[in-house]
Amino acid sequence: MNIFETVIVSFSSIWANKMRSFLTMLGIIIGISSVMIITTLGLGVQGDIKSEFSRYGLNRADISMKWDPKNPPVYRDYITYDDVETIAGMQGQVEAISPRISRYVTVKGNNKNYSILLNGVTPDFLKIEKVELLKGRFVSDQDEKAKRNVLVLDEKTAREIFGTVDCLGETMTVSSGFRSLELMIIGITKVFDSTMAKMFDETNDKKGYTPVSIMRTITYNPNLERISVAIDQSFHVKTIGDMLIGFLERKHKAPDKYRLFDYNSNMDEVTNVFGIVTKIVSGIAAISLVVGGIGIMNIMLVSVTERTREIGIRKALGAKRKSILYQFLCESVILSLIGGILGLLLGSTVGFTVVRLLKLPFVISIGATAVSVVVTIGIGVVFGVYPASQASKLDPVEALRYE
Amino acid sequence: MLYVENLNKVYKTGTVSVTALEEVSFEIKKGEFVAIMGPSGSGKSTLMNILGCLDRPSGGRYILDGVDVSVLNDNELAEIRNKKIGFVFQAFNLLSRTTALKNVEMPMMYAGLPMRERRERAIDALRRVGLEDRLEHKPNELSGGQKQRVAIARALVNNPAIILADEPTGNLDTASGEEIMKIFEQLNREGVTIILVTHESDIARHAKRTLVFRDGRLISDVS
Repeated sequence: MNIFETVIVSFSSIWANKMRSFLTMLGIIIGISSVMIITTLGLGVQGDIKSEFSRYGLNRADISMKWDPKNPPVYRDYITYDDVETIAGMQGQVEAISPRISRYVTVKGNNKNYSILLNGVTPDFLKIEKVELLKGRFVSDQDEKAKRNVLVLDEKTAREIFGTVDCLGETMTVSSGFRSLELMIIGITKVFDSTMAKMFDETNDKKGYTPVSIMRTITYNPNLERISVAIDQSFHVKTIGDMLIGFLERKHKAPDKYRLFDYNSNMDEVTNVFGIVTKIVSGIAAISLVVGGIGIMNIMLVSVTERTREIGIRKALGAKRKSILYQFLCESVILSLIGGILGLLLGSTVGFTVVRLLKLPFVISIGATAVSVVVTIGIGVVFGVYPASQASKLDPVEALRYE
Repeated sequence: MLYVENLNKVYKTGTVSVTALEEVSFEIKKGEFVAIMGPSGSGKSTLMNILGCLDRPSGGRYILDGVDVSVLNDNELAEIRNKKIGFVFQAFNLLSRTTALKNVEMPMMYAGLPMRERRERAIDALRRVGLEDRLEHKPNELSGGQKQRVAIARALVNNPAIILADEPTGNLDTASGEEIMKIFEQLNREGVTIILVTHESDIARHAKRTLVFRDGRLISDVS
């Protein structure tokens, strides 16, 4: 009896007890599908985090002042325009650099006050972070050099203040508490709204951009507090970031005053945590596979008893122990495998639906699929061996006499 | 062909031991048609199981087709059953979910014959018992007599040294029983060695030689 026939015989006996076989598979179906759903969800969240982070630029390093109350930065520690020039000149390693000053400021529009996070940036900021314009334009070099009183708002803020995005040319009073300036709206940026953004970024705050030069005036602060740097993709962000910090520390003779925020390693950290959580939860879900396996073993034992006579007949006709063993083992493996495949289908479908509802990216995990198939085959073997060996050891005379 | 010498079979259950066969010796030659008779408890089923290599004797020797089968292990016995013995049971013992053709193919499946050859030989065997038009019928679609004929075809198909028929007419009406016995007679005329176990003398009459057992002993051997 070859493998092909063993498989056919197994299928026909599974098919002969459709309901029972299905109920037996249910444990495996539930186990595999829950692992699949959790994995799909986990991968979806990770994918979302990745795309979220990539919006801020994955090859990006932000260097800011370290605010240690015991050792606060003093005037000479602050990053200067000269530093920015030097770093911008590191060609091949640095693709773009934008100094930044970010502050919460009060804007007055329509006789109401709003708090927005105003970012003083240079035009190169667009090369670092993905900012898409809905209307108008972004801060330009001329704006920066000529200290033009311009303001770019995000869509949400514009709608909240003006009820429309058609507000180009409107002027607003922006004040930091030190000084107030009249700024004219020249552009509206698109808002990315996602679950992850809410968790990891200030995106949810009202947001605006203005030239760094204007920001320095408003905040009455000549210092640059932060630089965002886009690093050439052939380099490791952390390496170059550390190098830049080293440069600043030497230049200002100020050790331990600068802080590197490396988006890439931050993302890795977050996705790693999610990866671990996913694995733990799917591991817990996989426990139900053991329950499923016990179900298979149970039903196989019943099946061996029920088919004692058939086993007797097969033995009388010349079936060796091995043939009977393989036949029952094959049956339990197929039972488990079909359950696994149904579980994969069910899990992917449910996972797909949930992920779509949450607006997360759908990633099918080849690894999880392969592991599921291997695990279900393994369950079929492990829980099928005992019943199958019971079957193979039956005494033909007794088996033939069995009613 | 088939040679039995001082065969013993003792069943032990706990402290009680029952002797089912005691010092049985006989010889059956190729082409014989032998009936084994005896009341229930005479040991004829035990003998049948030993002759069919389903069971081992407690003592004595059993030589089938030149092989001392009393010393073989389970796997070797399975092979002997497959190649040298064809069984016909009282309860037919066909696989109920399987067609007549597949039932007949089964011994050849365990013999490892290629599918095509199996099919051809199975059809041929079913033709010999007059069931060439019932190939795809399942056992529950066949009458008792037809079922037993499928079983005979299955017994024949590997060209065994002997056919062992254990009360083959026990579950059949008289007419079907006669029909089955005619097939056995026909097969015997074609040279097949047949051993028939029965307690009905009407049935035993079809055989050319009768061995009678009582209390585990062979008490008469009439040709």
